[in-house]
Amino acid sequence: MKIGLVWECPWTPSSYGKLALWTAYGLLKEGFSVRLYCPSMPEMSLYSRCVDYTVKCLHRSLGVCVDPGQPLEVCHSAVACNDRDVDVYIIGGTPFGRVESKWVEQCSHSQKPVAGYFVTETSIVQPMLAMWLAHVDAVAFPARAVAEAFLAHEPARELHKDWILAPHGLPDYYRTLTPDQILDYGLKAMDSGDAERLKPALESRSEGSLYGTIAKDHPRKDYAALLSAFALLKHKHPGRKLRLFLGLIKAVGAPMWNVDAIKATLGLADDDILTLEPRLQETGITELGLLFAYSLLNAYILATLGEGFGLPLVEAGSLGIPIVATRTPVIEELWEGYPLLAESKPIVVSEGFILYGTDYADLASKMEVLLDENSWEKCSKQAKATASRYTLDRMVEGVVKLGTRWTGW
Amino acid sequence: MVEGVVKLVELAEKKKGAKKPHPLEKYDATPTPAYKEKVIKTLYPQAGTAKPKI
Repeated sequence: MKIGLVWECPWTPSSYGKLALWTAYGLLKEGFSVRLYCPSMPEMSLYSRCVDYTVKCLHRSLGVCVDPGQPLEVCHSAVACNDRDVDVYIIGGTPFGRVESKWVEQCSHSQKPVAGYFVTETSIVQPMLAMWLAHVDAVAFPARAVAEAFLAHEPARELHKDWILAPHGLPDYYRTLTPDQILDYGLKAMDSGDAERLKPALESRSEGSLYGTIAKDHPRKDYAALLSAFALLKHKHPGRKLRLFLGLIKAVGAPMWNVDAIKATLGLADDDILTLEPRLQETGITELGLLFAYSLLNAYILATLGEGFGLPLVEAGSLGIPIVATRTPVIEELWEGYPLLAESKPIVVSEGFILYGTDYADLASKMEVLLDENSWEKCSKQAKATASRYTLDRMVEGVVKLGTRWTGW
Repeated sequence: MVEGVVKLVELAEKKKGAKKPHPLEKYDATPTPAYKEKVIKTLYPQAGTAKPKI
């Protein structure tokens, strides 16, 4: 049976890029044939419309690799849902998004079954937009809260009563590697200039005072909340070498945060905030770079207006890095039982979406908990245990259920 | 969002008479009770709980 996955390109260093590659890998491992359709692939190549993509893992010796062991067929998403040899199509992303709505549109004309593996950051999708779900034959969501957001509209709920829960998941190396192993490997591979740049981060890390985030520079992430909470904490603990690593990666087409202005307003010094080198802010970072950045941190902080899943929280947590995050319905569900979720208030934005405003002071107080060594140990264990629920195998199991409902594989 | 709605309506038009027909007769854009309740609760968290002023 051949599954056509319509999603991000597997080489893109982003959450979606990784999920697309990992899902394809998992499906191949289960014995399916897979063709991936994605937007940053040339529409036409010289001898064929598609290419065979071979994963090149530079850090296989450390175990940081998901390699299907065979080339993965990748075609441009403009031709998705037109191939006769594909039995079922699965579209990933937000159905009313600019790119994904095109996919739903073209696939809704296909005679083959089309399923959606959908996410949204809002806690309710307004009725008209929820009707994008009427153009696919089945749906899966990574969290119950996401299903509730889409299926609050009766006609959509009626059509997709039998929706499938398929939480995103991580490969084994997130659970088997330790931050010390990753740092040791990374530092050895680094040239002296880069190692020099890391000195302030390592200094703060050694006394448990390095907080940070690695995420897109996007209005949906609340860096004002994060910087304000950090400034509050710094003010309260002048004797500690508290630093914040702001690993922001530029998001195409999105307005950027003016971090320098916020920093100046809050009276934070240049040395208090560490950033990614400019080249990496443009290109994004590799999987090893990301693991290295998580491993540097004493705590991963995500102040956000809303998440469809919040993959970075699960990634950092799997490594045993305690997390602090805004309490949104999705995060509350996925991190059930975890103590460090910062309070928030729902807000209706002009599009009719409901997002969440982080309580700065509560974020600071949850961050402060981690300055105590015993609390840190406890939260590290809890973060690891919670994040370990989200495995690649479990995600693939959900996607297989979604893709095989017509055929009974 | 407006773009998403416009494209959706265009799609419904295009699918009329297609082999795989539009799954619903027409889109119902009326806010559902669940949607209205969630928005009102968010905008006015005290809604329904405050005592009437005399």
